[in-house]
Amino acid sequence: MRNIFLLISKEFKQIFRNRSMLAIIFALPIIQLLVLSNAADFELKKVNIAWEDMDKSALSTRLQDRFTASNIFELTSVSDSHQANDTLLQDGGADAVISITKGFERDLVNRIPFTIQVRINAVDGAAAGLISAYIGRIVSSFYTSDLLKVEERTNISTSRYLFNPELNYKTYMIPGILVILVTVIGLLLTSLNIAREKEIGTIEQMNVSPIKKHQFILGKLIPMLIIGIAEFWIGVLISRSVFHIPFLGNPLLQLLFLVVYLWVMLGIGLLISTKAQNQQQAMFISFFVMMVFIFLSGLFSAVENMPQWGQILSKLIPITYFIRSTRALMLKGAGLSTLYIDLIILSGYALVINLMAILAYRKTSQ
Amino acid sequence: MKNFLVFVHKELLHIIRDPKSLMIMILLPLIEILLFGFVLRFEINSANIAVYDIAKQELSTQLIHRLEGGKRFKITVANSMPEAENLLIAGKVKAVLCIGEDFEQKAREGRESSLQLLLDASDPNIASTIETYISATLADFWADSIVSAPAPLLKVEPLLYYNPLLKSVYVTIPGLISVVLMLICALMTSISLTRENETGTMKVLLISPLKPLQIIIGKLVPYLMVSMVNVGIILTLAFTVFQMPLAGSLIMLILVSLLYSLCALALGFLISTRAKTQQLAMMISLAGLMLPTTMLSGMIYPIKNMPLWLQGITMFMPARWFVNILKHIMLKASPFSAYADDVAILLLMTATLTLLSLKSFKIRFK
Amino acid sequence: MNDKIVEVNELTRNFGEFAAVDNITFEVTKGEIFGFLGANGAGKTTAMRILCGLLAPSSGTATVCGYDVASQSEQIKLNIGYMSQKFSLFNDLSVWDNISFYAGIYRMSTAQIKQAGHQILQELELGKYKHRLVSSLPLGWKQKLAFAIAIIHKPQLVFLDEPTGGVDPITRRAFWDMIYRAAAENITVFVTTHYLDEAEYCDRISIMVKGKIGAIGTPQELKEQFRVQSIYDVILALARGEEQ
Repeated sequence: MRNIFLLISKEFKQIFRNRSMLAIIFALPIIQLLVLSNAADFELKKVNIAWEDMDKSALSTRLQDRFTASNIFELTSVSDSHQANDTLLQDGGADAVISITKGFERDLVNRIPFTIQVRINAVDGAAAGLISAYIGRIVSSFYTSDLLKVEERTNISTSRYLFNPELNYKTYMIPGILVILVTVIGLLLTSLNIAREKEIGTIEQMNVSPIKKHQFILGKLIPMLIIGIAEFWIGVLISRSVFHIPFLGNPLLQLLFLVVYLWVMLGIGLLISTKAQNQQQAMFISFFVMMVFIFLSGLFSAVENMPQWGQILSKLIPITYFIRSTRALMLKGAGLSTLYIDLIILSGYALVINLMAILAYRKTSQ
Repeated sequence: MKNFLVFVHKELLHIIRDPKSLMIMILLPLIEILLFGFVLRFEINSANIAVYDIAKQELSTQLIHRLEGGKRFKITVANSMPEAENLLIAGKVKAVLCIGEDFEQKAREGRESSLQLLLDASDPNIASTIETYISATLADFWADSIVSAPAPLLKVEPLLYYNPLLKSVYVTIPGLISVVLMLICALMTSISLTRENETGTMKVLLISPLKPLQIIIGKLVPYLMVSMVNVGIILTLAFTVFQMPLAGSLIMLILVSLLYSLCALALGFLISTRAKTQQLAMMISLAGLMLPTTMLSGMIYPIKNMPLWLQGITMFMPARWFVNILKHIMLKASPFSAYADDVAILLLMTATLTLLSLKSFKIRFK
Repeated sequence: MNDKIVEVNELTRNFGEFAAVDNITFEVTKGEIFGFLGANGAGKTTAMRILCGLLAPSSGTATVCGYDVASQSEQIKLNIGYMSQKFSLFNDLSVWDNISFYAGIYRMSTAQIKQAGHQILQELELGKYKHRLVSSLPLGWKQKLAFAIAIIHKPQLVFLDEPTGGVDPITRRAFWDMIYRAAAENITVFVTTHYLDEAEYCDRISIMVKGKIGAIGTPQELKEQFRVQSIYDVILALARGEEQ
């Protein structure tokens, strides 16, 4: 017990004596949280449109007013030149060109079907689908109320946005960013830290001393665990005070999840460090594992949208369960009754991976 | 000149004779592009929604069939409101549609609706997309089953420019290319060079008659070659596996990729002249390059959604300009004038970074 | 009572086909300074790692301080000190942090640590640098400090793996004074080195050649046995014998 305590206090001294390391562990994540959470916003807030009106009738002007009045669309250009508008589309000045050819008013008054052509920059396919739907909605409401003079039918009496009534994208992203931050600490720092002692040779000194292997491992992992826990809660405090993200669930349950998850990451870090001969290799491997974790976890793109095999891969990585449970806990106030399966899976991972790590660690030093 | 060539040859041997690192440098991007190219999907293809049908009438059943038939929704039937809400909290469904008792009656009277929609808005993007699509489905449903009015006279015909099939890869591939090239060029260069500083092999070179500029170029040439191999692999994958179009000129595409690689190499070199240890170099590259390149290049999150100060920061991301150029060349067939600005900015960045690192390199060893 | 602190009997260690240590037998007597010589790759380090309990032997037996290396490595570790070829102190900790950390590992009480630590600082004249980071000390000082720390718990036996590599002659001399002092306190010293003048300082030396013990005895005995003037010539003679 005393040995573990000695190792832990040694580890903390090494971290706190090293100013650049301190900055990396504490300042960087905070800056990332502040900056990146502002960057993460998919929502289609503003659609720039170019208005190409050859008809120039009273009716087409009324349709134009409809678009101007909506708070999604912004008319960035009104021009008759097909070519100029295409250039605008090409260099990003407009997301869509709405083109009304001659005869718009005449045809509609005479009850002849008329088609409005909309040219959309579809490089971002998801956004293009939504832009097309939004334009369709405005045109159809224009048709019912301005042409048919019928009152519009309400499709849905009430839509309620649960868990995030203001549709704030940060609310969704921040729990995910917090998870990434603790993953970096758990995985990268652990694997690097052990690889470093290997590279310098101090690990050999430990091996000939009466320190037992499990004591050495615990002495490495516990400080990382403590730092990871501290970092997570600092992040939660910032997200509450700066971004007003709610924390509805039970903090103790969140802590339990966090500790179990960190054990998984620490185990992976340990496993990597046994395979790597130096810091460079440890870093490349951790880096790769982290990229896979982050992209497959459903942090950036919902798991449901992935191809079948991607969804299966996503179910195989522990971070998926932690992101899901953290979001459910923070934003929805979910309790153990809904999350117990995730907890069981994470605990299973913690057990298996740490067992593997300890076995691999024993083998390498024989 | 001759001693310079000998030196470059030696540097090249270093890389080739270290198969582990070489494998990492070539396999890593391959796997990343393949994996993430398939997995990152931002369009919402299908969503699980729950229906709580209180009415249980013919019309409500028809509506449920209609929603199921669209292939966009997978329907779960809930038998009580608490059950539906639990599904929502557990994340099993993204929305709950509640069909009120007087659904059919109100529907025949027109106007009012007794439909209620509960959305899991923790991901606001998914919530608003689902709402848009449900409401579009409902509008069609009313038109077909109730009003029996003649088909509307006014139609919108969307023409999807540059990406008519709305493929996600059109957005993700240019982004991934820029991230992976940044990873290889900047990250690996900075770490390898820092390692040489740490082990002292750099000092030996400085005592030799080689000039600092020659040393820099000699160190960078091998990495540039590895980068070019990677550019080749990545572009081949993009065109074959992901079937990216090449609307513009291939030569231009290769030249621009070369420029971007140079820029990243210079950045990596600059980091290596400043960082004292590998750990530090890695953390700077990771936090300063990787996450910002992913989040601030416009690859995943649209830049125009960011707050103004952050949009200002994105100006300093080489990837932002590179992604833009890639879209122009690969998708839009734009003339050079459309992206000349972006190329000029990349050139300027590369020149500045080279000068800075040269200066920093000289100072460090004086 | 047995006065042998190290007893090695037909010890072999294979790495695949290659026998790094090939059937060696020797003993080290309590209190002596035992020099362990040999060219790079002759098997010195492997043998030493087995004796420290870091590597298991493939066959044969060895006891250190009366404990079997294969089965009682934990007891051995409590009774030995070790200073490795690579630098073994934590560069990013202060002098005092290193002292109290290592002393703590060997189960010394706080009072003992304080006493022994101050003695080290005094002997090495490091008092002023107590809270300096080890990385800021010159190499010679670091090696002396590493040695002092390796014997802070008064082990029966200390292993030194090329302790003076890269150190200037004056500091090496001072380092050997420390070794003699330790031997006077009844600590057996087991040292590997490439400096042949250092070999002359040892009570007994053994020279390893390709995994086997080529020669063993006091420096004087070896010189007489090979009928040469210096240890250098002994090694040359061994190398020539190997070639033929």
